[in-house]
Amino acid sequence: MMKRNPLVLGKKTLKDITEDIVAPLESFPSKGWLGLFLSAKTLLIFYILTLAMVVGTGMGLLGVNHPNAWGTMIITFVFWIGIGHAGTLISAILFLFRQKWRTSVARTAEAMTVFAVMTAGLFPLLHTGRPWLDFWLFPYPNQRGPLWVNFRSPLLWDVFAVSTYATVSMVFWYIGMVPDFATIRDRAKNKIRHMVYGALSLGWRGSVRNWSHYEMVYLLLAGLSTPLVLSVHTIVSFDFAVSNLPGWHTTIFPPYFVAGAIFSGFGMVVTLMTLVRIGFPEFKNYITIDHMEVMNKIIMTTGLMVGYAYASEFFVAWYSGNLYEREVFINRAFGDYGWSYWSMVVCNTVIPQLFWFKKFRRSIPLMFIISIFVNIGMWFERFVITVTSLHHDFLPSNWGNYAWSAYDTAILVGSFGMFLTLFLLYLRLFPAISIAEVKPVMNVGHEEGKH
Amino acid sequence: MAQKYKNGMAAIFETEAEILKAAHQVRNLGFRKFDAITPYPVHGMEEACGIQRSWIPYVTFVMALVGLSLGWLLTW
Repeated sequence: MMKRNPLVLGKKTLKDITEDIVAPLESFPSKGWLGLFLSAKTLLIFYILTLAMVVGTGMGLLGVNHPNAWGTMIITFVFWIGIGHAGTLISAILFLFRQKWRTSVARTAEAMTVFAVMTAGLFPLLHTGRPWLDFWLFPYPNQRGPLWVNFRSPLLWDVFAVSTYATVSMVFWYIGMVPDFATIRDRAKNKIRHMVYGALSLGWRGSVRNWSHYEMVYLLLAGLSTPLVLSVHTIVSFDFAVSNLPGWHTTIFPPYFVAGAIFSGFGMVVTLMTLVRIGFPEFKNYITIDHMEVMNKIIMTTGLMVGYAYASEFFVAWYSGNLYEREVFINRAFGDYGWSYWSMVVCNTVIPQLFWFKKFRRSIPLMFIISIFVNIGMWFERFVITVTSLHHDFLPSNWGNYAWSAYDTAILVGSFGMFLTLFLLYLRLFPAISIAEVKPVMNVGHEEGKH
Repeated sequence: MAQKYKNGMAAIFETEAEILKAAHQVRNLGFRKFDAITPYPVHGMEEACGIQRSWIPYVTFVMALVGLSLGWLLTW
């Protein structure tokens, strides 16, 4: 049998695992964490103010106008929704495939999913321009005449896809944490802590009956989340692909978007994990170089899929013989927004090729830099798709560039404030690695040679 | 033994293998009202304690049918 590297380093006992993982919850925050948190929170406040101005004054503050009716908000929505997909892939699909390495990264990846979906979810709601009427998005008996949402519109499918995704990933994340909340409750030294984590742990006792139901629920939730990895971004891609616009109206969009989502999600997981490893050095024994390497392999694979999709789009534009399609793609690469197209190609398909080399796959500084490029590249991908298709459609008299404003920048940058604030709070309030899932993959407590 | 410890008894085990073995033995001795409390799921513990398969999938199935009907009702 092939000898595998241990999933947890440092010859930990079961007690060590509990103490290492709950340490960030039970100790006073470090200066590094405080610094990051205050910066992220300042950015969040700036974001809230920006959004207040955009909602108060109107969408005109952003660069959206005819013909570019969709801009930063939709681009950044797709960007954040895509990032969420890596968490669901790790927590659900890798669970069903019994990939044991997922145990130590799943919790944080799921947290990333939940926060990314929350960050993303705001954009379509605000992009309606009248967010106080957003309940119109749901079909409910109303007094506005025989007015019912349009079930033939992919935008409505998106409402359901994203809200389902948000619900399922939050429940999955929470259920996974229940046994660990109980551990924290049992260790709590003060009353409030005991009460809060006691309530969160839903009276968990760790009895065999608890575990029996728990494992079944977890399996079912993994089964329910698995199709969501594929369906959510498929439906997001339908927002574009179901329209008639050249550059959007392509059948390759669903698989292309899903691959891109997983690609960008793993990029973000690697970014965050390298930082978590620096912030909590003890976690290096749990999130090992081997874990990072596996994720880098996934980045490379999905990066190649995305590159294939870019190439195939150009091939189809040429092979279809469709004048408009061809014009849009030539314009995409060599027109006014050529720079964004080539930044996307370089970031997403060229730079991740470094991961072919084992030395680069296992270098923390290098993977951090590459993951940042992936994040940037994937934002540009959505920019390219949204803006280059809209600004150059069938009629030359209808052409026009996106009037990027300072508010667009503020919204894009500010959304990171929201995401990072939530993520930093999570790192200190929730167990960032699943205690109950890491322990069974250890080799302690088994009798040597008897299994 | 069952007469002597009317109010029940508890024991602490250091390892997964020991508690699993103990659970097997307790059940083989004919005890039915007992529990095994572990900090993480132990493989084979359900069989050792004679726990039936969880009934949660049936609830999930019924709720899935309810959800599906509601979804169809909305689009109808």
